[in-house]
Amino acid sequence: MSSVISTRHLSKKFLSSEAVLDLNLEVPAGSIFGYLGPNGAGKTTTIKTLMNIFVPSFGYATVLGLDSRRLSPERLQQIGYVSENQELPGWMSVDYYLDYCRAFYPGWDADLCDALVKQFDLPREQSLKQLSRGMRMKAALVSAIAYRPQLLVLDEPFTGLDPLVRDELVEGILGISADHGWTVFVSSHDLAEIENLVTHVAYLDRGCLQFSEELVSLQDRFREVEVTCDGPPQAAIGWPMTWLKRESSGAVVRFVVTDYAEDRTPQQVRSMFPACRDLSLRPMSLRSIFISMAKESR
Amino acid sequence: MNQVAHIFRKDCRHLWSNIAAVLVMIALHGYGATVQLPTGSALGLSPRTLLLMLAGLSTLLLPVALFLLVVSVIHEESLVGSDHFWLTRPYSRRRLFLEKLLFVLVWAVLPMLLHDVVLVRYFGFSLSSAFGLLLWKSAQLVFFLVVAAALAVLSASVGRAVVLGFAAVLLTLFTLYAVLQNSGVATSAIYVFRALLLLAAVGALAVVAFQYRFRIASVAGAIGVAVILACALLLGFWPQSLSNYLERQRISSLLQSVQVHPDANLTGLPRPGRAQDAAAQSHTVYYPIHADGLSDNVGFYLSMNAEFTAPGQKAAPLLVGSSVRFQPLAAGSPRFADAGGPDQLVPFNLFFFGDFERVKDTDGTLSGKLVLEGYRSDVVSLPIPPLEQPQGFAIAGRHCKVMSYRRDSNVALSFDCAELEPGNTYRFQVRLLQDRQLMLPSRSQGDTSSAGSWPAFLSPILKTNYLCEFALSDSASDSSASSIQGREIVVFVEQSVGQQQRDFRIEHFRPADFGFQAWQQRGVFRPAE
Repeated sequence: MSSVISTRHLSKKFLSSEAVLDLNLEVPAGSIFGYLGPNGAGKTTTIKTLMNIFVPSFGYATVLGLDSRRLSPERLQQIGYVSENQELPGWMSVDYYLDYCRAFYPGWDADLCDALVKQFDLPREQSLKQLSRGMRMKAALVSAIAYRPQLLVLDEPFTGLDPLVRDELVEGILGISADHGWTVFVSSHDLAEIENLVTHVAYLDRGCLQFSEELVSLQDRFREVEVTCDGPPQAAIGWPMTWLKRESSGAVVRFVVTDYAEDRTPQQVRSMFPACRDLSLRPMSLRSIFISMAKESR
Repeated sequence: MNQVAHIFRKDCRHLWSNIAAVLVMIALHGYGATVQLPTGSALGLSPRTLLLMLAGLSTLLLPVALFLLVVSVIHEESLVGSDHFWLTRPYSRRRLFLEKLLFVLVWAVLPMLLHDVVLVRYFGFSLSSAFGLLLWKSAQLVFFLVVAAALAVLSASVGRAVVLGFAAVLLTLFTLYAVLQNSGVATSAIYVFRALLLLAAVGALAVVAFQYRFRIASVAGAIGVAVILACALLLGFWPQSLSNYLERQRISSLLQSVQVHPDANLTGLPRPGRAQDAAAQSHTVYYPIHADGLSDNVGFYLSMNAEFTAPGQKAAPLLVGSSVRFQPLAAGSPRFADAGGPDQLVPFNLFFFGDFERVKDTDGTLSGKLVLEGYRSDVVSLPIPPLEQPQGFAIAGRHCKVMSYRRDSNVALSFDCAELEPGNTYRFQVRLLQDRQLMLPSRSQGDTSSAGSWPAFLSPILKTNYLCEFALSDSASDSSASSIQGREIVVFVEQSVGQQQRDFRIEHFRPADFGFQAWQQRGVFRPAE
């Protein structure tokens, strides 16, 4: 599978602070790629660098096969971008805004646009500044996908939205990307928002990429482990680096295994806790994985 | 090009109120320039009064409206910040720049040009005569707009653009102060001003172009600061020799053809003005000077920067004691008292009083530079117009209207004149003539037009008003219109033709021999008329 987005040693520095550090990332074509990390991790900086809003301090990124610093207007016709912070021209009505955007895109699909406006129940005559935040995001999303971009970049698109609107947007994105095979690159600091959306996931913390892989393999290798011992748990020497977030409570100890293997991990745990009476290894939700990673990094 | 038109339509739609404000201000300013308030009458509160007040305010509000228009249109797609929606849309920066250029051209430059053309035509000047002026006015307007654009590309809101403007002014003043303090050279020549304007405009344009190309506000700001510094250095270290060279190129041939000769043998000289202070008079020395090559209506004022040197004596600086005018008697201007002639006895004052006693009996050399400030005079005669009926006439490139009216027992004449900026009228004088008798006004007030109005780009026309009153004899001071019949108005106008310095040297100058009494005893003065 070829990469729609690729970065090599990408770094972005603002004065003395390093927002993104040595980022190597591959976003496969046709994937819905979740770009995760706590607030201030460098997600938005990465996206703005990919979109040629920021110039990399070091390294480079390619988007649709082209160096991000050379993103031409023609290439931007193939990229849809929606961000929570994006300043839309508030004085424009929804209709005028969509009409205005249309002239920039030869591939603008008026039928798709109309269908999306109806689907999102957007008030055509109302100005953007009069719309609620959720409605504005919907309008932005329509204007970003009505020209059928090859790549849709969404920067924290669901922040602050009520669950109903969020679900509508997620369904909209899922439906469109499934129908057309687009690549969607979506950043978020809350995994619950995009858990049902993404096929791939990358985790960024303090500008550094912690992992980047398919969601299925990620969920396969993370397990929440609960060990019940006969007495106070005593771990053997040599706690693996890949086991996170150790917590003890009486005879019970809980932690997260990040390299779970069915044939190996139970044995490893038992040898680590010789007094183990009971052992459970539960699959984790993406949200739990995210939280355990975030806590560990702190 | 479609994208340019598309964004242009969007900007027009959104900024219609800014556009309307600029157009209304331009219209008001044009109206204010054409309307003439009735002399001496008070205006009541009326729609016309309000309109006139607004027209008056437009001088201040029009630059503000133009500034806001430029800043607003650039902020439509702001170049500062990273959250603007257009940054992720397929905008071509070059086309965006062209669109902004087109917008400013269509809604600022062209309306102002049209305003100027209408005014030029309204006041009866031909477009061909005003062509250079219109270009220069447009260039000054473009300079103003480019500076506004530079502030706009470095700011994200109008408020910030204004704050940035103030910061730039403060920085400029501080830099100028620092540079001028160190260099100690300051020159106010028009060439320096124009060079500064050009450099600042190029710098501002560089800031704008850089931002549209690279969108790095810190670097663009640094370019702006560098330009301010460069302007200050240019002002501080502008070579005076270059000013002099350019000044020489500008001097009218009318002045260049004039030759000035100190000549002790001249006779038939008019009596010079004498100092009121007897002590000063006793320390004043005189020397006859003859001017050759003066055209009929061309003369000059003479001033001097010289010193008296003698062996064993410290040099004593001298200045011309009082203003001396050289002008051929053949011109129409002899009717004006200070017209002078081509030969004049020029008074010199020693700069320090004590010097006279020190050097008066010393045989030395007087040398230095004579400064000739040339002028061309024009005189027209016209019959005095009937009461309160304006009459037009032209003099020295001015288009004027004169109206007469009664003021108590006097006849008042009001002259409303228009000339092309920057104006070139140093003196405007009026006499009344009847039966070959010349009458001086009992009272007069009015403007000269040696300086343009502010802001310079607002109007190509300079309007001036001159008011004078003549006390008529008792027999003529009845209220009937017949009292002014048969009288003529004589109008005298002077225009500058440049300034030039000439070296001079007078050997064997012994101050005690050249006092007023000495010249009188030699019989050099022409008999009193």
